[in-house]
Amino acid sequence: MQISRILLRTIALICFLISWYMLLRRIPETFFDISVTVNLIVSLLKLGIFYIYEFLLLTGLGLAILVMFAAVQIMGDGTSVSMEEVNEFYQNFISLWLPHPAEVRFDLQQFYANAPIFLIQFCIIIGILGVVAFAYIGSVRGAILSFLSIYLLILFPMICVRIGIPFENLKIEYSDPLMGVLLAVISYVGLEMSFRSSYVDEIFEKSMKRSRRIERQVNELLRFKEKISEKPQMIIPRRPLLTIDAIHYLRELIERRTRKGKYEIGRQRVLKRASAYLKDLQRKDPRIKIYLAPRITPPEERRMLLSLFKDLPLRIPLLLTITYAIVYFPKIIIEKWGSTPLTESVEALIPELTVFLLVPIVMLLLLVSKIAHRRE
Amino acid sequence: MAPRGRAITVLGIFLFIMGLSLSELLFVFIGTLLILSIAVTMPLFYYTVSFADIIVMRILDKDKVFAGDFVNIKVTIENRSRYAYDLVEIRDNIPEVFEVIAGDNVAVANLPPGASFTYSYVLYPKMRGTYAIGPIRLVIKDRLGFFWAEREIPSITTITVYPSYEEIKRLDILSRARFIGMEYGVHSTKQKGIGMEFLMIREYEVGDEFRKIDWKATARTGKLMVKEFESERNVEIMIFLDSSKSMAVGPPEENKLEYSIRAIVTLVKMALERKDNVGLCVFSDRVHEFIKPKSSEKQFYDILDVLAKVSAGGRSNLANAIEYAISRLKRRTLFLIFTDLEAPSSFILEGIKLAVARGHSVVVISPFGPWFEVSAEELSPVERALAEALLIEMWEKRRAVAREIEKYGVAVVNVGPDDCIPAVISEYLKMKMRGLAQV
Repeated sequence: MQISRILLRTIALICFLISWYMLLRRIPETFFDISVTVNLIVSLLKLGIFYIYEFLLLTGLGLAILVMFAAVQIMGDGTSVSMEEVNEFYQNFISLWLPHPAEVRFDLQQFYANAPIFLIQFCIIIGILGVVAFAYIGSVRGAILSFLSIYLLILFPMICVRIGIPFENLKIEYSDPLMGVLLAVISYVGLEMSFRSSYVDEIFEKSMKRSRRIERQVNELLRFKEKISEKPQMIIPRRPLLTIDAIHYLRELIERRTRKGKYEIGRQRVLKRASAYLKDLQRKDPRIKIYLAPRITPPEERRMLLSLFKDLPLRIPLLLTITYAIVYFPKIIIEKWGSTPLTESVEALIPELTVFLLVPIVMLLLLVSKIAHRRE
Repeated sequence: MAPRGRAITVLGIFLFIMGLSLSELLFVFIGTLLILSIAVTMPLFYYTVSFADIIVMRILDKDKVFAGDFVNIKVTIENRSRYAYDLVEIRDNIPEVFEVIAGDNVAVANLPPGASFTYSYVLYPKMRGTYAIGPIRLVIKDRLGFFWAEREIPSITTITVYPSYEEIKRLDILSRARFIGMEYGVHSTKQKGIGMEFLMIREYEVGDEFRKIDWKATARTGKLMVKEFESERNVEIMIFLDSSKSMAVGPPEENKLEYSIRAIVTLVKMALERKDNVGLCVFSDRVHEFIKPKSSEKQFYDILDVLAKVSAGGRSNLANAIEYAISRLKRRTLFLIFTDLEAPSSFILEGIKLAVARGHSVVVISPFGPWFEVSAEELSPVERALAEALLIEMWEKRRAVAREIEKYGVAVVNVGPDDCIPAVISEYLKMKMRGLAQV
């Protein structure tokens, strides 16, 4: 069991490391610049302080102006001031203050420039932490997070370019689709292996832990000896110096202690009787401890490995073949047998054609599942 | 679909859509791969899962148990299908009032074809009643954790929990230590008779048998003295238990009904050991259960069976219950009535009147509500003051009813949680001493 688990985890780890290597080697060094993060945080802080300052200032001034106009109206010579006039005054006042000072404008530019790089760095950190979590504690969440980070890392720059933020393109060998497919395959194999290793953890490790926990509990119960708890001390005021409230309070305290003591004594009695019952059960059936704390007996290592890997040679190639066929087949067919206008059309280059194959296949599989489920 | 399966599907769809919107084949490829990994696994999983081929068995070491005792439950699950089930979660549902004291009612197993898995757990039933253990919930998961299928196997085992045995056990220990109450007729009635147990020495009266003369006492006193022995005649007891709604007010394990039931169990056990005939009538607005007084061994378990199933409801009508019982009783009987006296006094008085008029002896054991329902320490000073006012008002009302009852020569014994059982035992012994309702 140990070998199977280590083997599966190692394969998954190697796959993730290869994927990350394939990705990280494409990322320019400037993306690892830690000063980007520092600058972003500093500019964020500065911007935050500036906006808080501006908000407080404008609110304060606005209130002051309102009070001033109100005072003029009340105590003045009877000339009235309309709200439009107050508003106009305030707007003019704001226009003097609101434009960002040059320093703040610089911070804003810094923020826009550094934010995407920071996001990339964030993805890298999360992805690597996910791999580490998976390697150490076999966390499937870590594996999924790492897998997701790989693709978000590629996705961010693309989206940035699309929305017009100047950004270096991070596409993995954009001109070579094979590299992309390779990355997809390796990362997917890593993900699937992590799922398989989690199965070994879940079924055998958890069962072992549960069994150990119950064994401990049963042993404790079998060895249980009743502890004679002390009787709660009675607090009796000797002299009537205490107030009525204090006496009530003390009485309550005693009642509470007595009640707690009673509960504990009751619990001890139950455990004592449970211990006797278990001993009796054990005498009648010596295997009772095995039934109380059952363990799933792991199969031999060879059989375990066989069972874990037997469907892989079929499953992974089958999945890859179907996926490849769905994604690339329409394109190949159009290129081979399509008419010239169709081959040269823009539609032939877009991947939407995949939908026409993927959706019916998935629907068919869902239908088969539904029928199989109904049959049951 | 399991959460992991859902997460992978959502991730696949997201990457696929991103691929389409950015015209990026890498994302289309990985999205498709993720979606297909789910779609391909699904039919295979559902095809292999067959709950009909999974056999579940549950064995209890006893199906009738006293509250506070323990019961061992063994669950066996067998896979009779051709397929292996990688991960099976088994949860045997247990009632909330039960506590698992050893083991666990949940287990995880992997079941190759033809394999079986057995686990066991020990339950601690705290409250009397009839409960259902089960159904068993099975969850089968696939190896990758994408899918699960769950099914409730309708395997139900009924378990009857008798009222707590603790007091009876104490009584047993006491009996064994002092040799009391175990033999026929001992301590039955303090009535002079032909029994073997010495009662007293008194002066000779005309008509006394000569063989009864105690020569030693005669020599000592200089007067003719005779020895008196106890009668070995037994008593006919009919217990009336009020199961109206008001009896169950308060904490579920410590309300008036529960305490009354515990007291009744102790009383029945004691009385049957002394070969007294004991019967039971459970009533509220109608008679729910009626067991004629008998002294057989089976009677104890018959009464326990009834007591285990008592549930509170309806309004109390004592008159109706007594009328019902009288029509079925042929002898003079000692009526022990457990009621909180919260029903309309006309019903209570009418019932008492009827019983007394027919020559039956009656004792009312009355648990007083407020003593059972609230604990003073749980109340704030204001609530406590209000509770005290309410308590006084209720007490006055009860006193008025009790005074009316006492006019018929019937004793009303007010009991609280601490003295409920001792008071009942003491009343029973008192009645026997007085030689009431002898068979």
